[in-house]
Amino acid sequence: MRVNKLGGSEPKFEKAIGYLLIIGVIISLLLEIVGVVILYRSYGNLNISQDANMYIKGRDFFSFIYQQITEKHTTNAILFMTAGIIVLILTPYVRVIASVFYFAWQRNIRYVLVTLFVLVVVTLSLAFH
Amino acid sequence: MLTSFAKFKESITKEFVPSESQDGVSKWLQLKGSYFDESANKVVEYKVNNAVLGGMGMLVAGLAAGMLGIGAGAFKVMVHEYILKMPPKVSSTTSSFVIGMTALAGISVYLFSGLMNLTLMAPMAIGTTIGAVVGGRVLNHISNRTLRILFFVIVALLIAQMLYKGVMSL
Repeated sequence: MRVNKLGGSEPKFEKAIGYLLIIGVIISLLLEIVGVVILYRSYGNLNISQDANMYIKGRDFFSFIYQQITEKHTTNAILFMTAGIIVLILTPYVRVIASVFYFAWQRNIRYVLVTLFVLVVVTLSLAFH
Repeated sequence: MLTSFAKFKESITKEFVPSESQDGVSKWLQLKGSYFDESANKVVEYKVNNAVLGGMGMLVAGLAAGMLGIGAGAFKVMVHEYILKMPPKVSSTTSSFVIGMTALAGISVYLFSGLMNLTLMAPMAIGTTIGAVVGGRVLNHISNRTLRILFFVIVALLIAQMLYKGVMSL
């Protein structure tokens, strides 16, 4: 187990949560880069497009994800860029869920309640507009 | 943004002094911690204070972020440092994380409004993510004073840019 500079040992669970954030950010970044490269190859520039297809829209975040899975995308650039944005948004959300389990594992009831409250507020805001 | 300059002189001339005491709510919430400061080569221990007042400040910051889309980072950093008595580096990293949560809370509304443009969002996401990764690595290697000076310079530039845009659009 890695020993940090405070002289203590870093719990594996805490490290796992850290990796979760890093993995989410890397996946999102890669998807965005692929999307932007395809966009550049298709249009020959990276100007801000006013094309209606470039605007993302949904009733709420969860139905937006469902819509992306079930509907066919007009271009691969849109597909990759949208997927990147979804992963980027989901990363901190998954981190909050992981935190609930982390505090439960630590038997810190106070922070389980605080984190659950944050999770409920964030879930409601993602589920309704 | 102007609130950022409330204690400008004190911020860049005085070093951060950790609070010795803690109010009841902050104590109940176990708001204390420590980190290893690479630039000072020492462990910094701190106690957060005024959790209730800080929470109200964050409510204002959240409202500003939701309505203006500015992330309200500058305001949050001021609340962290002057009300909650956090060390500057803890304040900066906490602010970065909280901005993500603020964005999460508003995403459905933005999606419903249909104003999110992929050709604008994707390059911004790439740039800010790479910048945040590099900034996070550099942060612990610079002094608190340098960090504060950088913060004030960037806030001043933002104010100038907003004023310029405002005046030019008249």
